[in-house]
Amino acid sequence: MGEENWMELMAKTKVKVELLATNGCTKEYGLTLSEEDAALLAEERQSTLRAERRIELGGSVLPQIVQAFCDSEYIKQENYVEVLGRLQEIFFAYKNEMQDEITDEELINFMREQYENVCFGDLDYLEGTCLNLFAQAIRAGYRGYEETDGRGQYAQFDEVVRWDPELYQMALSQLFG
Amino acid sequence: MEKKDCGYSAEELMPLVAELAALATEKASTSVSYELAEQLMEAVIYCICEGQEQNLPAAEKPSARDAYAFGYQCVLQKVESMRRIYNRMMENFCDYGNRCLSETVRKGIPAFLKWYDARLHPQNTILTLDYPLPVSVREHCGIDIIYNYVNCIALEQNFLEFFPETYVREILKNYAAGVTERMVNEELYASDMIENIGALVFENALGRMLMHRTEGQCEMTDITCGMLRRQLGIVDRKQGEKLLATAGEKMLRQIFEDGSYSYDDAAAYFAPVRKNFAARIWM
Repeated sequence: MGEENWMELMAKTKVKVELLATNGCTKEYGLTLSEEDAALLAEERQSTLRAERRIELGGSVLPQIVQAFCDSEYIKQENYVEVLGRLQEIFFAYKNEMQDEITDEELINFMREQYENVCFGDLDYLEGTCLNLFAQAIRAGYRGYEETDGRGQYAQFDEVVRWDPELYQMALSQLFG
Repeated sequence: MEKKDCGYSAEELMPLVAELAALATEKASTSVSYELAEQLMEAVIYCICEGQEQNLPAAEKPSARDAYAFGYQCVLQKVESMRRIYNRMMENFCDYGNRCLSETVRKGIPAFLKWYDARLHPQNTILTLDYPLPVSVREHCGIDIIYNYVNCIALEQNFLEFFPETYVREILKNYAAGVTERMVNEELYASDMIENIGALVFENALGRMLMHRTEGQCEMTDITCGMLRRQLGIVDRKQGEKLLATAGEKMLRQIFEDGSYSYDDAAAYFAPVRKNFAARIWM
C-alpha cells in the first residue's frame, strides 16, 4: 500500500460507500458493483487524480458518472467496472484539457451523448476524437455548451459527414422496402 | 510567495480549502487542479497570518476556522484602510509630469482595488509597481505590499508638497539633462524616466541646504559632490554620513512637523537616499 495518509484513506472509504449506494439505481439496468469493484474504482480514482494533478476536496464525481451512464445500451455487467474506470480517466483528463472552463455536469452530459449516439460505445473514439475536437473549441473560446448543459454540441465540430437520422430511415425504406 | 507557517496543520486547513474550492468552482466541479488547490491553501494561510499579525495573543489557540475568519476580516479592513489613504492622497496628488508615477498611481491602484480577490487570492499582488521607491516593500505580497506601497507614495507626496511644483519639475529636467548629457529633450526624458522623484528632490534640497544656497538648483553631480566634500571638510565617510543625518533630520522635522506622517516614518523612508548620497560625496 505504501505511504498513504489518513486523508486519502478516508476519501477512498467514502468513495467506496458512495459507489455501493449507486447499486440501488443501477440494478434495474442489470448493473451492480461488488465491494471489490468499488474498492478497485476508488483506488483507480486516486491514481487517476494523481496522474492528472487534480484533487477532489468534497465528494467524488464517480456517482454522477454512474448515474449518467447506467442506462447506456453499450454497458453490460461484464464491462461495467472497466468502462467506469475508463470514463473516470477520460473525465479528469478532459477537465484539464478544457482548462476547467466546463462544469462536471456539462462534461458528463457531453460524454454520455457522444458515447451513445456517435461513438456507439467506443471509448477510444470518445476520448481521441469527440472530446478532442470539443476541447479544442473550448480552448479557442467556445462557450455555447453553457446554454444546453453540454448537450447537442458535437454536430458543429464533427469532421465526419453523417447521415441525418430521418433521411437515413427514408433511404433504407426506399432501398429495402 | 514564501510559504509561511501559520501554526495549523494541512488537515486542519483542508476543510477551509474545500469550501474555497466550492466557491471558486461555484459548486460545479468536484475536483480542482493542484495549482488551484495550492493557491487556495495559500489564501487560507495568508488570511490566518494576517490575523495573527493583528491579533493579541489569546489564552487558547483559536480553531483554524476562527483564525481564518478573523484574518479574512483583517485583510478586508486593510484594503479599506489602503483605499482611504489613497483617496486622501489623490485630493492633492501631483505626478510632476512623470508617466511612471502617474500610471502606477492613477491607473494601477484603482485596478488593484477593482480586481483584488480577498477570498480566493488574497496573496495576489496583481500590479508590477513600476514606480520605484527608496525602500523595499517586496518582501510582502497581496494587500500587504500594496498597503505599504501606497503609504510610501502618500508620505512622498507629503514631502514633495513642501516644494513648489516648478522647482520639482526643474530638478527632474536637470537630472534628465545630466543623465542624457543633453542629447535628448530633457522634458520628454523626465516624463518617461523611471526614477524616484522624492529621492531626487531630497538629495537636491539637502545639497542646497549644506551649500547654503537659497536660490536655484543644486544638482548633485559627481563634481558637485566633490565640491561639497571639500566645502564641508569631510575627511571620512562616517563624518559625511553624520553631517547628512543632522541636515536631513533638520529638513524632515521641518517638513513633517504637523503632517499625517511622523518624522520617524519620513526618516526611515529617506534613509537609503541619505546613505547613498553620503557614499557619493565620499567617493
